[in-house]
Amino acid sequence: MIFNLYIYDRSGTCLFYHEWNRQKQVDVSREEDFKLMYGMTFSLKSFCNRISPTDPNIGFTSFKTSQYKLHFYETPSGLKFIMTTDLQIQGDIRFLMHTLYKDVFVEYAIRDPECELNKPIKSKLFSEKLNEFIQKQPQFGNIAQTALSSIVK
Amino acid sequence: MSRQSGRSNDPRKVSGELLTLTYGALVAQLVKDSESDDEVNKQLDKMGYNIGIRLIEDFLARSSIGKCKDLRETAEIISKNGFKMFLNITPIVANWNQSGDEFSLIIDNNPLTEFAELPDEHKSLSYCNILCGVVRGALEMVQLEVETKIVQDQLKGDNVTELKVKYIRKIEEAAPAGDD
Amino acid sequence: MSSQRKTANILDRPLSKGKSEVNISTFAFLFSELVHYARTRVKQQTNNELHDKLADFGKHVGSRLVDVLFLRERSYKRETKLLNVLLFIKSNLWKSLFGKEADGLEKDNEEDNIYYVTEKEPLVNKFVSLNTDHAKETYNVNCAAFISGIIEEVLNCCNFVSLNKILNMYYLLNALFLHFLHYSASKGYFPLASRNSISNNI
Repeated sequence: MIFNLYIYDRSGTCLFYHEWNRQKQVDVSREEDFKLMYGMTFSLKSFCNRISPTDPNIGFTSFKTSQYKLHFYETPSGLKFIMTTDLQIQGDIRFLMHTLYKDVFVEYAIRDPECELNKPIKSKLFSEKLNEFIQKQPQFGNIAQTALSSIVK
Repeated sequence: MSRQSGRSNDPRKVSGELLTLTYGALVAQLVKDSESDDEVNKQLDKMGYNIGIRLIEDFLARSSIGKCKDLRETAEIISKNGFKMFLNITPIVANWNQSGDEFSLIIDNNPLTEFAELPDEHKSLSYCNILCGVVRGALEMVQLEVETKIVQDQLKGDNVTELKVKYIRKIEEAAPAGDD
Repeated sequence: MSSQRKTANILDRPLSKGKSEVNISTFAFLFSELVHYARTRVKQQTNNELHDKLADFGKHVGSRLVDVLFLRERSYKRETKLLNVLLFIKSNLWKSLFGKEADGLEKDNEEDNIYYVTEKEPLVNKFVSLNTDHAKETYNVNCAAFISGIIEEVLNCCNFVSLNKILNMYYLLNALFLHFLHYSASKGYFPLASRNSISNNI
């Protein structure tokens, strides 16, 4: 089951955030949450590289707790995709995020003349397409999927 | 009736002529709006930069290319993957300098100049200057600061169009602001 | 013109067959910059003004395209009948620009001189989020103004007066229909006095 998704540009601005099945809200403001998430992954990434016993290559990709798993995917251009899921999730989530980058982000944000690269994405088309993409993933979560699609209809 | 359309119906492709003519319309308008050729060149470079910083994302998403080892690899990828992907041409990488931080992309069959001819009163117009900006912008996004310049131009009577790329420095990743 | 030019004069070179193709992204990025530039050149930042600017770019393309297409596909013969020109636009022009025919060509039910070329998904709008708000009648810029500029100039070059504006756009079953007003004159359609002899030599 997919809980939420953050997309950051390379200077740490949160370009997009959406949650699907999040049951418990954080106790800080959205902005604070964005900042904390970015700072944490940034530190984790450099920490992981520093302690790596071999050449780190890709480095930090995910961590998990008893309740959820956090997946991290960074493009060579420094865009960061961060997704949290439940522990039962199957398949390669980093690949899923790469596909999302390729088929949704590049297609509907990068190519949209109205979309500025270093500001939160306002495009409706983008969020629609992203939602569509996430919800058709087998990992999205069956119960929630049926619930959501009945709302849409 | 329409025998012409030898074009495939690939939704990922678009008519080369549409691109050529649209670019022509843009340059023509810039020339009209600007005081000097130099101003047009600057504007084209700026637009190219804006394109470059977006285009790189498209490139990275579609090709599974990771970080390059060195500038030589970068140069090859710009030519064989980058130019190939976006303009369907493969410029020759040449003219490396001694210290290996400067090279040229030799462009022939440039689709941007297909119908173009420089009038005599615009001798200092660098018609393809947009390419300089594109390369500079794209490389900046992968942490490479470069300088780019058109040093030979087919529209000015040279045999080829030559785009010079000079490596300046590697850009370090910025730490998150206000992090304590 | 210039004596030291080494490359063949542009007129001596053969006309390309127009089969070259480039990545759609390249066009999308270039077009995006064109829209941005157009926006910096309009004074009042209204959509109409911006549409006019985009149409100007389209006209530049249209005027060149008309030569290329008639030369390549009709061996110099231009159309003089309005309907034929419209069909030419719907099929040949559309195909060479967008790789497909336009979705439809319709005549207005009431007005004799109004035609619509319909296109469900204009290439130039493909990546743009159109946040239409019907109540306030506000919407983002409609980049298809560029295409309407192309059409307008093609009609002009064929000696038809065309008053070509995107009339409106609306969503119908989620499909975006763009309506172009093609031709508007008080009495029927007819070619104006010829500006260009080619069109009369059919």
